[in-house]
Amino acid sequence: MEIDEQPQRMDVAARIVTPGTAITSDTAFMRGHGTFAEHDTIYSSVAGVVERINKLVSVRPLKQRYSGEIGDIIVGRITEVASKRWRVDVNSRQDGVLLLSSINLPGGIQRRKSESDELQMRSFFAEGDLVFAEVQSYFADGALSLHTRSIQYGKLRNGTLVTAFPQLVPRSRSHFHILPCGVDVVLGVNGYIWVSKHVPASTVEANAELIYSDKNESISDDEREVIARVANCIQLLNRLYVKITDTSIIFAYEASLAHAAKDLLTRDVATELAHNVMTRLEQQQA
Amino acid sequence: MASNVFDRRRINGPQRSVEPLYTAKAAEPFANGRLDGRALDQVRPIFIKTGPLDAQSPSASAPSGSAYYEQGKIRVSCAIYGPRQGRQSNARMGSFDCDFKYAPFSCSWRLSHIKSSDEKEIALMLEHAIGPAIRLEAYPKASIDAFVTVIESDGKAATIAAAINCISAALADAGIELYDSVAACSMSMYGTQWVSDCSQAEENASTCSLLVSRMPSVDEITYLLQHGKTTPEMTTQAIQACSNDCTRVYAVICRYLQATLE
Amino acid sequence: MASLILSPAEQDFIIRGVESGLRADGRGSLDRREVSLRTGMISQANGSARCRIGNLGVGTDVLVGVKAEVNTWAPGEPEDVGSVVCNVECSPSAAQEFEGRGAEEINVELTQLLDRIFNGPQSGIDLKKLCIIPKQAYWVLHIDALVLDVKGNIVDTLVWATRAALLSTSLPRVVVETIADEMGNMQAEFDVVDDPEDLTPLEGTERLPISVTFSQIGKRYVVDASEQEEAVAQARITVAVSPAMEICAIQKGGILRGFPPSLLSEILQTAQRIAREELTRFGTHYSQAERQLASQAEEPNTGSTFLVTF
Repeated sequence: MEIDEQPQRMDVAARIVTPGTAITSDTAFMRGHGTFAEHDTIYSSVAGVVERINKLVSVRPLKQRYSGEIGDIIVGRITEVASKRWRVDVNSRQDGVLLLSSINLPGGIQRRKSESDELQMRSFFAEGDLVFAEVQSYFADGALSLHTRSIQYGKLRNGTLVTAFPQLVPRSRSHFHILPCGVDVVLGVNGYIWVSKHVPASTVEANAELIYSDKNESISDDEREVIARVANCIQLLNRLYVKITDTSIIFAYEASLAHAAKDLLTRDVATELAHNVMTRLEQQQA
Repeated sequence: MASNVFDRRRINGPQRSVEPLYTAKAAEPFANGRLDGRALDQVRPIFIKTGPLDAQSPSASAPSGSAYYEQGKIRVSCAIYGPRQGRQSNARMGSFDCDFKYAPFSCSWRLSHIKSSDEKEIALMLEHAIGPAIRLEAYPKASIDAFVTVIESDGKAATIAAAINCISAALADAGIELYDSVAACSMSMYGTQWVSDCSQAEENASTCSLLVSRMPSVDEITYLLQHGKTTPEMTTQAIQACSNDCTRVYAVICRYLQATLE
Repeated sequence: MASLILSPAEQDFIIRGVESGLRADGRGSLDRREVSLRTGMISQANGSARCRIGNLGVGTDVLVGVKAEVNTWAPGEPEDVGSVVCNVECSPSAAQEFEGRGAEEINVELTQLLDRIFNGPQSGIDLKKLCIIPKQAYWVLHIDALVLDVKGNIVDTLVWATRAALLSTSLPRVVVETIADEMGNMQAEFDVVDDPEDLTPLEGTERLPISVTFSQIGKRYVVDASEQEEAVAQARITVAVSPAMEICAIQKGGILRGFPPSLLSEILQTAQRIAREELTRFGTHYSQAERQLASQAEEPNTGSTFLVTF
């Protein structure tokens, strides 16, 4: 961020502002999120950091609700079954919408939708179910429209949910990771993270009718322990404000093996582990 | 004690009123056996009548079931409304709510018409005690409401037990699907002895009280409340004895329900 | 108690986990979470404590204040004892459904539960000592609890915080004099000494009970349930045990199921064992809290309850 040469212009360098602080009076700038304009001056409307991209000035607040972008991979919880659509809690300002026309129907992707599908909506997703979906588009009011039209999306099973801050889950190429310890992790960009037993993709594809089943596979005690360990590691990373990626989870997992799974969340062990993970991440950067 | 509430819509009594002082001394509860001559483990005689509140002709606003229950001097009445449209339209299981009220003349001191937190807590207790018995999954999106009024009370724990029994009878009268009838009984500890089904005078003299409600066919204890301090052995002994009393009360409830059907 | 909707798959995962003895966060059925305890942060109250049960600084958080007031005796009340009045309020900051009148039911249930444990001879507090002048004046202890955050197991957190608050409660000294009035009758009068240093601790607090709450999940039970586990639990039972291993109160909650008698007797046995462990753990935390309070006495008192590191 360079400081503009002309002395009359106000400083648009990256700085922390509070609501009502004047940012610039230069009419060449356009105002973005987190600002409002009065007469010719752009003021900040939130408390945060000023960001400038070319001629666009915006203010990014420290805490922000997740706001979806097209292509985001998210995990959501069904809150309501309505006519030909489901309302989904995506940890955002508004609930997202999953249309009946946007889901995979059992019996092959080519099956046409029938009337009985509309009446049987709860046999696909009911209130409380967790779905793994992608953001397709926006509605006019800004609500996200989701779809589960690929075989890896759909209802989530065999595991447990961990909630994290959305800003700690960076957008990346893949959000579905198979960890070396034998656990699948779905990193929803909206902060909802699903940790589950590893089910080979071949099993999923072989049983197309089971994609909407509510039944879990049988999970052994060892697998359960690993799931608990990974879930605790993610909570640890979240609490200590470390970015949650497959790398950081693996680092945390390896560092945690020295302790029992239930002790990972106690203050002493957590501090030690956090230190470990931060050091390894820094080493990796270098 | 009179209520200190001033309500413009009603004719109010005096701000302060006190129970009169009785010159005759009340008899000691356990001086020579029990005041009403019962054995220590004997429950008071029970009378149940179902259907007293049903309208003569079927009407949508009448309760779907009702019961009147007497146990010694305790008199309780219950009306069941439902199953009817519930508040949550997407619930997989029905909901069950209880409303509990003492009539102002029912206890030895006058009560206010405004619901006290005591009555609200007892309503919750009744929900917890009866809830397990109802087949709520058979009534999705519906709600079942029980309204209990205590006409005369004699012993707090015993009155709550009577309310539970009354609701059981009323639910059976309403034809609601149940896993089993719920029977409840109470005990109080006097010295080191547990005494079944105590009256108010006996309860005032006791140090601890226990309330147990049970579904005998399924052998599940649906509610357990201990008020006061005892040793763990005494508690276990009391739960056992009280469960036996519940079974006896259950037999009585079943007998009355069968008699009504005949 | 606060409602959380889980998918059938999540519920099944939790239930099977509990039945295998391995909960979702790695704990065993009887393992409890970390506790943070602080006392003496409310300067206006005669005793206060804040307790949090949970991991990594996030958990069920309860603040309890004890205020003592002098009440005038009215005819009909017992003549020679003081009294204890409890009140529990769940703050909307804990959960969205506590807004407005949403918390009414749960407030009533928790208030009566606290009352059942701490009001009366079973609590160990000597109510006779709270009487100042028989038939004239007595102390009323107002126990006010505020639930700030809910992450499962409100009951045990509430009892821990109340216990700590009562242990740290001290009453001002009262001087009673009998003087003759105009007609020569002896009248008793009392005077509360207004010296903040001249305080007497509450008597009988070493006998205060502690509670253990069991939640029934599937065919087994767990102690110190998390929010998710409470959403799946079908019934719960709270057992209050005194340091002398007497049972002071039992209360069952939960509308979906009852307890088989065999499970119930197992729970009562386990309750005693866990209560013993919890009392020791409480003792450690409480002495730590007292030490922290003492070390802070030299610093200027900001009087802020929440800035204190917790």
